[in-house]
Amino acid sequence: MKLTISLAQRGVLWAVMLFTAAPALAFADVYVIVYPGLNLTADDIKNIYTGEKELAESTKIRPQDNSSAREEFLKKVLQLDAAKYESLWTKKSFRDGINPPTVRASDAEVIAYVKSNPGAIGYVTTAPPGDVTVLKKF
Amino acid sequence: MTKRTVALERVPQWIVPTLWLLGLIVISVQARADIEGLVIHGFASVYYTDTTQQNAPTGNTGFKLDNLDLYIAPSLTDRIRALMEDVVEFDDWTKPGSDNGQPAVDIERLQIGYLFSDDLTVWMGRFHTPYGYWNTAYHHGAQLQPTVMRPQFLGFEDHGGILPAHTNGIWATGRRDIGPGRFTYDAYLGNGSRILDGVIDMQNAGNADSHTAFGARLGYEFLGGALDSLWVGAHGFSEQIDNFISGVRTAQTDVKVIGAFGHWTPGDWELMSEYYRFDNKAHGTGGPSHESSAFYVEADYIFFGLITPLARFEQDTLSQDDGYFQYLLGGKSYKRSLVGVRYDLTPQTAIKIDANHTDMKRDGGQSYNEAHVQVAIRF
Repeated sequence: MKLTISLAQRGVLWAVMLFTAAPALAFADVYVIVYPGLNLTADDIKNIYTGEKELAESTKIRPQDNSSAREEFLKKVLQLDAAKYESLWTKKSFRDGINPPTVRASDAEVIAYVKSNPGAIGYVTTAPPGDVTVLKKF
Repeated sequence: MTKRTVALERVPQWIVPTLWLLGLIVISVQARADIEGLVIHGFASVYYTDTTQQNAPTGNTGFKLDNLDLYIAPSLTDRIRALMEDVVEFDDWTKPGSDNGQPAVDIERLQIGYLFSDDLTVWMGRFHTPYGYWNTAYHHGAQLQPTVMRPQFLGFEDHGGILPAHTNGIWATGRRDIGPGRFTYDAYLGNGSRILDGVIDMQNAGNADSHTAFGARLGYEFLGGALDSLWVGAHGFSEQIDNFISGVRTAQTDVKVIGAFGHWTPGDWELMSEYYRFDNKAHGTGGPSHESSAFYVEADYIFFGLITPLARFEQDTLSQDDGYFQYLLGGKSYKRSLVGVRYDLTPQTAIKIDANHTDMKRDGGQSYNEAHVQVAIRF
């Protein structure tokens, strides 16, 4: 039996797919993770990712960006878009000589770095394994 | 002429700089693996000026190369960092009638710092003197600043500025969250400046006059609430500045400056202002104080994150009996009204247009109009 779908039916199908997929994209969870034992609080996250906080006690903090989750992180946590975030770090680097977070390509790369580097902090969109500490879920 | 010289002359002229540049890139790429921040960033800008000013110290009507600014900020260890900035300038502010437009390379900043804590970083070297907002926020970053030009009285030392824009010395800076915001501070100590043939010199090669400059900037930045992002503060510095004409000392002045500043970005607005009050006195004479002042106020509004109309008023009233302003190329009183618009073509590219009317008649100067069109990028 040949299944035929009219143009109108295709439109409805696409609309349903979009409406069901969009919330999942818009509300993806963001987990901010840190090296186990790193002494930070959720209130520190914004200061770290804007270059205002560089030390946790005597440990140098190593913030990591995650290009696959950055848009979501910036929107939910820093309330910034990518252009403003880049502009903020250009100014910070030029004025204070502080460099922006290193950019990692995926959740896996961020998790691998955070779990093996003291002072590391990053963010991912998938529930992380137990060998890193979740500082806060947004 | 030796065979070696002849052989070298056959090498095309572009070979040596090209090999040098390639070498620099290779070294940078290799070093980046070990030293965070060893990436070259910078700013570049070009512009067109139309002016009715006769014998303008900034040159004539026409297209101009502004500057090419390159900087690196390597983090050598968790605590040790450096900031190095070189600028190629093409349009030095000169005495009327002199040649200008010649390229010159300036080491703008060469500072090495140690991060003691989030409350304290100490730098040593040549740095942007921490006063007001503009000098440390924008400096040679033309793409960052809203207008084509800085307020004239805040110009660079060799562009008619009346304040030492750089200091060679030691600088402590930091911030601490207190109450609903953040307390910020800067304190510095360095070689005293001198005036050489009308231009402030911050003495990069030692303190020949043995005069010490010291100053401070204290501020408070509101975080959250109705005043979110408002940064207000006070600043001041003191030093003895001597004037030299063709190597002969002609004046010694105790320069004392205090003032205030504010910068605020409520919503799509950007508002800023700086004020400086001079209380200068001829050194060692017990003579009268000469009071002078300078200020600007600026308002910008950003439409759709792209288009920013803006307006600025700036004025300085400088005592011509003061041995400091008497000899400075930019030491004449003026007032300027400026309007303009900035268009951010991309986050890294800005096109700016502004026009101003400047009145320098108070000290016998001209009244004139100027317009600028600038393209400025960062990379």
